[in-house]
Amino acid sequence: MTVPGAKRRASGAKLGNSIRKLRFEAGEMTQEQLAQRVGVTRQTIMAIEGAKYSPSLELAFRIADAFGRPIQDVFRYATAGGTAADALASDTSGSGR
Amino acid sequence: MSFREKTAWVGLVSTLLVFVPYFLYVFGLAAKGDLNPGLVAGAFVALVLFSTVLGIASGILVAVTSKDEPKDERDAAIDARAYRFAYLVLAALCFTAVGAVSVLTLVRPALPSARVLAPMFIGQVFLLCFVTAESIRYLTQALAYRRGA
Repeated sequence: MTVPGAKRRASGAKLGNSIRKLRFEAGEMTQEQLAQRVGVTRQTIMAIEGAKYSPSLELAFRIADAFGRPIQDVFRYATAGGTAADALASDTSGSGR
Repeated sequence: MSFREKTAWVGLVSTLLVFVPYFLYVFGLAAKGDLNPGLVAGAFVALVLFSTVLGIASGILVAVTSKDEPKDERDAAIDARAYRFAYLVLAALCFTAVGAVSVLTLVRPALPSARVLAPMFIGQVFLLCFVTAESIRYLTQALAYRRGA
C-alpha cells in the first residue's frame, strides 16, 4: 500500500504523515500558519510534509499539538511487515522466550 | 528560494569569485619561480578587501530579496551535515598535502626544483585545502536546501 507523504527508510520501514490532510481539515491552514504556530520555517514544514525531513520528537509533538491531535494521528512509522507497533510486539514476544 | 538557500549559494559564488583568481595568480607566480612574500601579501590584502566588499554587497542583496528567518532544527541539521562533510574533505586534503610534502622532502635531491617545498608555497596549498573544504560546505548546504531535505 502506498502511504501518502511517506518516505522509505534504509531499514525498509516507512515514515509517513497526515499533515496535508490535517491542514485541510483545520480550515485550509497554510504551511506558513502551521510553521508560525510550531516555530519553524515554512520550508521545514514543506520538507516534513513531503517526508524529506524527519522532525525531532519535540517538533513532532508540537505539530500534533497544533492540530489538537495525538502524535500517532499525525505521524506513522510502518515496517515492511506492518506497523512499528506490530514489529515491537513481535520483538517483545521473541525476547521473552 | 529561501533565505538560507540563497545565503549558501551566495557564499559559494563569493568564495569562488574571490579565491579562484587569487590562487590562479599565486600558483602562476609559483610556476614562474617568482613566489616572493611581497607579491603574495599584496594579493592577500587585495583578497581580504575584495572579499569584505563582496560580503557586504551580497549580504545586502540577499536581505533585500528575501526575508530573514530564524534558524530552526532543520537548518541546524543541514549545517551539521555540511560541516561534517567539509571536515572529511579538509582532513583528506590535509593528510594528502602532508603526505605529498613528506614524500617530496625525501626525494628532494632528485627534484628538478625545490620550489614546491618553499614554506610560502606549502602555506598556499594548505589555504587551498581550507578554501576547498569551505566551498564544499556551502555546496552541501545549497544542495540540501535545493532538494528540500
